[in-house]
Amino acid sequence: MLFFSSYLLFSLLPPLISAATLTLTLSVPPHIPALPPSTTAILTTHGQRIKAPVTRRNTFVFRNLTSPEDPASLDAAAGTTTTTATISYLLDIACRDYDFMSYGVDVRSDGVVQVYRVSRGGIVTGEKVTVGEEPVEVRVLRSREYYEARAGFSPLDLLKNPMILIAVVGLAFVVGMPYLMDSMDPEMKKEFEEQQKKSILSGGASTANPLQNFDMAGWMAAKTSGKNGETSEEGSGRDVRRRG
Amino acid sequence: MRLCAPILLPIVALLYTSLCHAIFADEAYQIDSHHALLGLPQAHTTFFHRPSAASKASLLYTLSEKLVLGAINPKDGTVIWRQRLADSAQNYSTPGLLRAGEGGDTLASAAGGKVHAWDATDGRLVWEWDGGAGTNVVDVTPSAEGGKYVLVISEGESEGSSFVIRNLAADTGEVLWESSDSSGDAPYSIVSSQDRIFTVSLHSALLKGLRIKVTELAPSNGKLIGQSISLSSDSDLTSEASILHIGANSGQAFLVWTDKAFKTLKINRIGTKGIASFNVPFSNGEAAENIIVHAPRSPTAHPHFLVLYQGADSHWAEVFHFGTDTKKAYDLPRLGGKGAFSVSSQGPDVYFTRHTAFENILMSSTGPSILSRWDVRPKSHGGMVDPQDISHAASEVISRGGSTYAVRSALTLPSGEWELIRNGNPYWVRHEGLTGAVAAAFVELPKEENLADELAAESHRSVIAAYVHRVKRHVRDLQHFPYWAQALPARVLGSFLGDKTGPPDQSLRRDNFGFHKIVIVATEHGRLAGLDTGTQGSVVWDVQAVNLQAGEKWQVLSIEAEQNTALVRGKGGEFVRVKSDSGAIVQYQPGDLIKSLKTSVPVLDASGEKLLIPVNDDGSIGAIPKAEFEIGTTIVTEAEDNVVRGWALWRGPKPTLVWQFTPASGEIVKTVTARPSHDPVASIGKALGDRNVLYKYLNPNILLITALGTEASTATFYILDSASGAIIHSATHLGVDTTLPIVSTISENWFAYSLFSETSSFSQGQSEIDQQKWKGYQMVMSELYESPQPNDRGSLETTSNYSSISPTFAEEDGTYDTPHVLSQTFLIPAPISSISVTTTLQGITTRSLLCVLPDTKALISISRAFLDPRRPVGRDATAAEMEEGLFKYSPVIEFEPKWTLSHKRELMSISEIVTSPSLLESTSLVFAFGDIDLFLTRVSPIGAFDLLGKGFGKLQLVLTVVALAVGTTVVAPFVRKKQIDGTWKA
Repeated sequence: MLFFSSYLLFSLLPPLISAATLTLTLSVPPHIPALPPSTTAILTTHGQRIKAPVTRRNTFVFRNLTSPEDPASLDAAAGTTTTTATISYLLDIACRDYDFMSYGVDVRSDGVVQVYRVSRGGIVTGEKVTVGEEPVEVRVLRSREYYEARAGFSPLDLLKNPMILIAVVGLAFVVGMPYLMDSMDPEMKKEFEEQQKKSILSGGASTANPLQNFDMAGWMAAKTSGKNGETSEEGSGRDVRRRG
Repeated sequence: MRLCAPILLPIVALLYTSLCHAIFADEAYQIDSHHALLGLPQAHTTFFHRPSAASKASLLYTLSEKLVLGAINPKDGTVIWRQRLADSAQNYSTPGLLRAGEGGDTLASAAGGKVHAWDATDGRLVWEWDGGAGTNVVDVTPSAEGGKYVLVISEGESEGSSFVIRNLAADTGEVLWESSDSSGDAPYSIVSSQDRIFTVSLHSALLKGLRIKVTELAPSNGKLIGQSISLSSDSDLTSEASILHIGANSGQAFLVWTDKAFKTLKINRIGTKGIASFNVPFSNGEAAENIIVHAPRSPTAHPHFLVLYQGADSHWAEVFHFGTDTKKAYDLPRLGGKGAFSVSSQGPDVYFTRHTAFENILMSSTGPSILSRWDVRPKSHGGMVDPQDISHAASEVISRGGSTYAVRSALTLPSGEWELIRNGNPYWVRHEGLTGAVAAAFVELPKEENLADELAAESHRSVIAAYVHRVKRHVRDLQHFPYWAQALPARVLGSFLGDKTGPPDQSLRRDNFGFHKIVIVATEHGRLAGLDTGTQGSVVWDVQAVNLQAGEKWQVLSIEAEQNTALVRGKGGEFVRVKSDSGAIVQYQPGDLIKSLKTSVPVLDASGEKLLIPVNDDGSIGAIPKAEFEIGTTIVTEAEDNVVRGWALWRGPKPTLVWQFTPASGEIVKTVTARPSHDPVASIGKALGDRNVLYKYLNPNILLITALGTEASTATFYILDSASGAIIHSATHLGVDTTLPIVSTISENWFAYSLFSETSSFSQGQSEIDQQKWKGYQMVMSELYESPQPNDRGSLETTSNYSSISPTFAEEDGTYDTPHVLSQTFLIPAPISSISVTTTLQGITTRSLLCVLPDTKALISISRAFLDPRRPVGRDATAAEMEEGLFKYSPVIEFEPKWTLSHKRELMSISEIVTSPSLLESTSLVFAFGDIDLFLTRVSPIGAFDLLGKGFGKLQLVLTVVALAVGTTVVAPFVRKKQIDGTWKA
């Protein structure tokens, strides 16, 4: 990544050469296959844009990064300031096949190069890591998918439609019910029929308007006889109670 | 209303997905086409070469005049990889160098002060050496001994030395040694022969001419060995161009030069003093006008070389055997035409191939006998390629044992075609002449029968005449019937059994959807080409429209479509009218008459015809052609003094200056953009979610002016009314990098621009109170409305009189009535080098922004819905806003890969985009062009809603109908039986 050991000496010595040249090497994770030859890493800052094409080792090498002039040397006579000047670059990797994370690169006048993660707009979101001898590994966000798959016709998709599902279940009931009834043993069948009669949703005559066979006389009798009538006239009494 | 939200959400989600309308996998490479070009190959950098010692087949490599390095598959002419050695914006003067070491797997290229080594197989960088600004690499040579080193000779690095020689490790690029020369001589070349290294430099002789100085260096450390040898060449060598050849890479290094008049040929073995001299032969009394030396590049090949003499209209050659006594081996007879030779070697054998307009002749270097000979078809590739004269050729000869040979040659023609011929048969052709495109336009195909015209003719006649005319027309139409009936079964079957409708329609006829058009491209070489959008952008014609001086570039102002023809207007006032379907030049008018003008602007006259108005350097208007103009026609001119002027035509031919616009001090006007000529507006207002209307500010006269302050790093965007000159709106951005692309577009009632800026804002965070720097690429979208309130037309509503001369003074008290401007800024991940807008027939379809991303070499389409400045900020969208398609603002827009129109294709150096409506409202045709590539596609910004896609299965539809019919027929008797039974039971 950064072969800056020799430049470290520079930072200890008074800066004879105002702009030392530094090298920054980036590598991609080993599981990424060979990137297309058009892949380029780009350092951008105001007024400067440096490009590095991908090498055959799947790395990007920025040679001759110039560090800014050290402000300390300018007012060394005054001996006041201890700050170092910094050039901050945005690091983007333009690639046809992958999206890479965005980074920022600081090149300081003392020969230190720092790499850190940034969000769009160059806002620092990660820790600043000083680059050592090893290449800096840049992270891949995702591979780029350019195409949209066409939603093809499939009978299974059609069956997954809820409307179709409801219709199918309903149909199964209608068709299957008589067979189910036939296969029941007589006692169970009787019990079932009994239950159906009790239920409001019981089929046949009971689905007809209950008002049609409303036992007016019974109702009147129940009204007068109170609880006794209710128990004796079970069927119609139930109807009445519901109505009430 | 709140209840609506859950229902609306899926609709919005659906809308959102429809915004990200991507290319379907089965449509990619079908609806789009791409000419991946390199530029005209150069003679000294074009060769066949094996990418590595292990590979069996060789590739064709070239470094073009556009400094694009590329590897071509010789089988089909496709690009395997390419790299551009210069930025397109950068001016380059160097022709570049490309060298390949025999047996190595890398190529070394040099351009300007940089040397690159590339992997020959996949085109990835191996190493880079950068000499820094001011350096010029003169020569690069892979060392002869196993290709372990690369020698670089460069000049201009430091003031003390005139040139520096470096020895670089071929695999890492590490500098092993360097040796500088301070003699003040001009470096010419570096030669590696066997295990010796020589530098060749030119020393200005005392009186006149140049002396060739050869110095030997030790390969281990670059130290000088012995004295440098000075050849007495000063009597005939006057310029570098007279050195014909330097056998840098061959086993025997030798130097060939001639005098200015091409009278004698001098040959020297490098490292010795002896000079062999030969007289240049005359042929039929014709003197040579040019001499070219062809020698093998391989160090193992025989040191035989061929000298080609080109006369005015014939050529002849001699073959020499180089050795201790260099001698002429044999002569080659004179043939008419220009002709080209190429050299190829296999082991020690050297072959020369002669290419003329009619034949290819293969010869061995040992004797004059012809090994093989093939006739060449005089015209190939549909008559497009005419090898009348060949600029240069590269070839590869393979001996198949005995007397059979296979020869393939890549011929570069002056028209810009690059053709591969294999044993005399044309194999493929690449249209490298289409590089350097400067203008392009979509042109309709000529109508063959115009039904509308015929019907119009009928309506103007008497009833009987019209009836006779109609019957005649119908009878005439009948002649197409057999063909139509014949094709019908195939067509029906084809449409049911999938998308294969037979071979694509080769004929130049209009289609029902308006997708089939001709794209006319004008190049800086003065050529015009027609590309057929119906057949994957194939070149249907290619003509030389204007003849240019060497080094001159054709500047084209506009290409206008006319009935069956196209009019191409040059900046110098010249124009060419060509037939749009054949490229035949109908009319040519040179522009020499008006020399001093800076530019000319097209202006429409009263009848709608475009006329060119010359504009002088100072922004004033030259002589106006005689035509009827509408009173008040405004002409806007840009001048070198940075002032934009508006001129109006009143009665009389003299235009009057109406207004002047000067940007703020320190700013220069970069671009002046008007709304596109085809910019239909479907609705004058924007319907809001609550059924109110926000009225758009639709002014046909608005101009977008970009002004840059390079000193202060500012960019200001002005919206100007071109009738009155009033500034309607302006926005200034600080901290803008004016060296990076700043692009803008204007359409309908909105404008957008993109720039890179670095601004400081003080953040109030706990830890960092100091300033935070925002840095990045931005896209700004602004919309103009008549009023901020819905259902309000501002002051326009109540005004009965309106003046376009002073539209901003609507009120009597002089208050300005400016439109309400809504702006929003988005951070985008990459720079945009060009921006354009889709155009559809009626303008109903939401427009998309088409942007060229130079970094990823892509063309993307961004839906305007993402860039809507009305997106709610800091809160979620309300149900009403969701109904409009608005969603919460987020400052960052990432370019989704699915927006990429060019998908996996890589568009090199694209600089401009032209769009054209198709007959379908949903679809716009897009053509992108530039210095290198051409790309053609069509885009449906909100999906192809009026076209059945390939996913629509006609067969399935028919099968479903059939299944239903069968089911009904089968079930019908049962149902009838049940009904009858039911009736009886009841």
